[in-house]
Amino acid sequence: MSFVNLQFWALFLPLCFLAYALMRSAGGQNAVLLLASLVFYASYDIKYLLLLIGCTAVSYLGGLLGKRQRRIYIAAAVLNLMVLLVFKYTDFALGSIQSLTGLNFSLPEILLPVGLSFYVFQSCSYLFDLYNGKLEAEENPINYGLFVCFFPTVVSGPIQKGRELLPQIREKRQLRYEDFSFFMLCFLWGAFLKLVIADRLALMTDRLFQEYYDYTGAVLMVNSLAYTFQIYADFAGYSYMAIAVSRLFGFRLKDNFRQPYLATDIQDFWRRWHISLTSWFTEYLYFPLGGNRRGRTRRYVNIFIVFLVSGLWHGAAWSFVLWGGLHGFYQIAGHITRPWRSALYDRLGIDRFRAAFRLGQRFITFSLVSFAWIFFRSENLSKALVYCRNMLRGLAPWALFDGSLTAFGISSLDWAILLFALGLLGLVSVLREKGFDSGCILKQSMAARALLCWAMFIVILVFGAYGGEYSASAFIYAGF
Amino acid sequence: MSKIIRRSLALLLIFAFTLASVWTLDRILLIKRYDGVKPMESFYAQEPGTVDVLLMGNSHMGVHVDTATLWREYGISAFALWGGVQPMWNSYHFLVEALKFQQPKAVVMEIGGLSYDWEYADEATQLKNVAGMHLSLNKLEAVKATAPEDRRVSLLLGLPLYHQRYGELTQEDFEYFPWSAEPINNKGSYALYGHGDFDMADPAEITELAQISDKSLDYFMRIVSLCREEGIELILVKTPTVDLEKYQPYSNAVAGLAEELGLDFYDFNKMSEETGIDGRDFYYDTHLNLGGARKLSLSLGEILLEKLELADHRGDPAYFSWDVNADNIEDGYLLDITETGDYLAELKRGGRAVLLIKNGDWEKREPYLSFVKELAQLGVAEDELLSENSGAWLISDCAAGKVSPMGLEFQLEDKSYLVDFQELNAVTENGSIVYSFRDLGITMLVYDYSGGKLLDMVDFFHTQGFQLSRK
Repeated sequence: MSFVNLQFWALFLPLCFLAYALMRSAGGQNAVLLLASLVFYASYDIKYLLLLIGCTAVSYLGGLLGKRQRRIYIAAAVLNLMVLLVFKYTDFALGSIQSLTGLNFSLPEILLPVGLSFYVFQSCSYLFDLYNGKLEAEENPINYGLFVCFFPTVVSGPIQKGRELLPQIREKRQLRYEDFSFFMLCFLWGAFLKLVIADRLALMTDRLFQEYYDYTGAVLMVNSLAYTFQIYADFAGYSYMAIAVSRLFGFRLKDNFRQPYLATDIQDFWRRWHISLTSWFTEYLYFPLGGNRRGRTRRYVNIFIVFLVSGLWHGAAWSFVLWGGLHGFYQIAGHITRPWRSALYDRLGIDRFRAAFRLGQRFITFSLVSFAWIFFRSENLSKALVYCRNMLRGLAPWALFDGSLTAFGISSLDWAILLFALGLLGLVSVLREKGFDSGCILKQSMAARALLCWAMFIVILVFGAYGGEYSASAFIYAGF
Repeated sequence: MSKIIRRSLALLLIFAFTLASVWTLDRILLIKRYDGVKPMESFYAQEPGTVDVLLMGNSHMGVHVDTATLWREYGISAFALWGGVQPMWNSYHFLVEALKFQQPKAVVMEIGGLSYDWEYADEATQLKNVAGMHLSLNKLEAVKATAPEDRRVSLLLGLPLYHQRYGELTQEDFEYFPWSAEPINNKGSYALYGHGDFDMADPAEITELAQISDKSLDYFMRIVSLCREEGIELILVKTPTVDLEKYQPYSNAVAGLAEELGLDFYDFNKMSEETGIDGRDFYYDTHLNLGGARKLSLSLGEILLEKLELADHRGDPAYFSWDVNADNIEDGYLLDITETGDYLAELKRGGRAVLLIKNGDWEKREPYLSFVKELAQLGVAEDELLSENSGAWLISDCAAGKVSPMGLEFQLEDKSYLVDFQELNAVTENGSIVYSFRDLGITMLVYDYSGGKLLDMVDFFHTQGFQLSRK
């Protein structure tokens, strides 16, 4: 069951909300939400529910027992991380050994439980905060259980920190009309990104990342651009829906994306992309490694380590490691060349505050990010390299105009709709960059808001890619 | 009014408006398949109590029995409620749905659906066999029988499966609303134009008995029970097919079953002498063309009249839509015809007036000479057709061969026609151009016999060897 599943809308959410609304205390509200969260998670695969409960219990007990001996916090976190290592990286590690040594043995083929990377990281953030004295241990098992298992975030984040979410869990939350309005608007925007943009583009990218060897130049470039937008619309769409559903129950979660493709450099990109994960790595890996306090070389090593680990977190394959490494390289290269670039701009008299200059920076950053996504999306490293080679071999720009692009499941009309939707996404991104956010819409009259929601709903209903062969569970980030 | 009440009312209003929008979109985007969907949709539009005979089953029923012939020849108000590759479970749920609105005297069931041995049909077939049904418990049951669990919600709602039709909408998609006239005039059956030329095997040579699947048999028995409960005569038929190897073993099995259950079963594959159907009456090996369907319908009509007391509703204003249905089938069929001989034969069946125009002069040799002989069947004098002059004839009744003298001005009902070879080089109807001459040859403007409605314009150009062509 996912957010764009009819069972979720027609059954799960109304029942959950009704039961929640009938509760008169925070305890009752939390008990309802915890039960709903377990049901929600079990709908993916009931046998992994035990793993979720186990990880939650370990971190909960670790939090309680660690009051006497702080090392227990770390032990509990390590135990959680071990689960992640076993389920996510065993095949990868054994496969790598097999490739390196040439030994022939069968791999265990362990399936990755949905959301494992997210809830393990969330549990660890709680334990690390306890260890660092930033948080008091949560004694109420229902409250803590809800913190880890909360259904809007358990599958694909955003990764919450205990010090941000637990205080909200402890308080009784009021049902507010404003929260409902926000929920509708934010959810529909998320569904628009997911169903109208991401899943439509997926028709092309799913095919072309399989059949890349038959194509060159412009087609593969358009495909990598399509994937650039697909992954953003997919993951940001999910995050918006998660934030929206959380708000329906009175929880205020921070934004997980802030116009990442308007970033002016790679460091800026990571301040805007998957913010909850960047924040996690910054606080619990980069700073403990020494951050930027131990000299320039160590700082670069730290950055590189963080990005390699981030790559591995996204997927147990060398292509993900390379993707992470590429971003680390981008960032380090950006740091190293900054003084030279500044000197060059000064010598050439380039005004770095002019819109055209910033547009150029955005274009370069976007291109670098887009190129790196090829490694992220390709099945393995060698395929990614062949994809790049083919893309750079023979531009064949006529493919953009001779109808070739309509041969991948997206008709001319669908392309027109997609371009319009991407234009809308761009417009919204620019407006948000300039300070207009959902609050500006929520201040409008009820009729105006209703009309906007209605229009979004109808657009999603007609132009969304759902039904038929479409599988609602295929959120890209749910696989990590 | 308190803020809460105002907001609640506003939310209700928004919700109702959204629901109405979704319903409208559903109507527009619904796949308008001629099988499964349109028959069911059209069935809902029928006046209650007007359908005397329900023709049910798969495409062998929908295509092989012509509701126009049953109406024109016997005044039988029959409705073909069918779907392509329709399994018994969908036929059963169609019947349950039908009996909510009509009390037919007979259900004629094509048994081809008993030959399907799968648990579920392919996805497209699943959709067309339930999409036309309105939301109800019966539809829910139909969906459960039709598709595996993971597809049932989409199938029940329909829109998730056909919402992506926005790129292929036509005028017809905007005409399927309860207030539209089209559905009531559609009685379900579907006409195919075209000829195969098949050798007909002898069904008596196939004595094998097929094993009917449990699921098909279960739903077949439900149909039998339902008809018995409702006091409806159930008549089983196997309509003609060339593919006897596949179907005859099932017909043999059904023959035994029908005997056991005390039901009438007509195996039309064994009745070719009565029906007169031969290999030219097939569109392809498993389906009759309209010519074959007309022959079969004549035989079926005789059987129905013999077995049941069916009223002749012709001329009854309450059954006017059956006239329109017959007109639509015949007109649609005429427009599909591409062979000269078939076209002229269809005109000879009657109901049509033709403005036949000879434009120009050319050498009188083959193939024109043969064509003139064919045209003469409509009543036009051969020597006039062979003369050097351009001119026109109004054939006011093709069946009776009523032809006006050769001329240039004609009157049909309240419309006057002028054939002008000089200035306009065109044909005008009440002063407006309806046809402009493009090449030398024969042109036919075909009109509805009584209404004067222009149905078709066909050319037989000299440069194209007098082959039938349309603009």
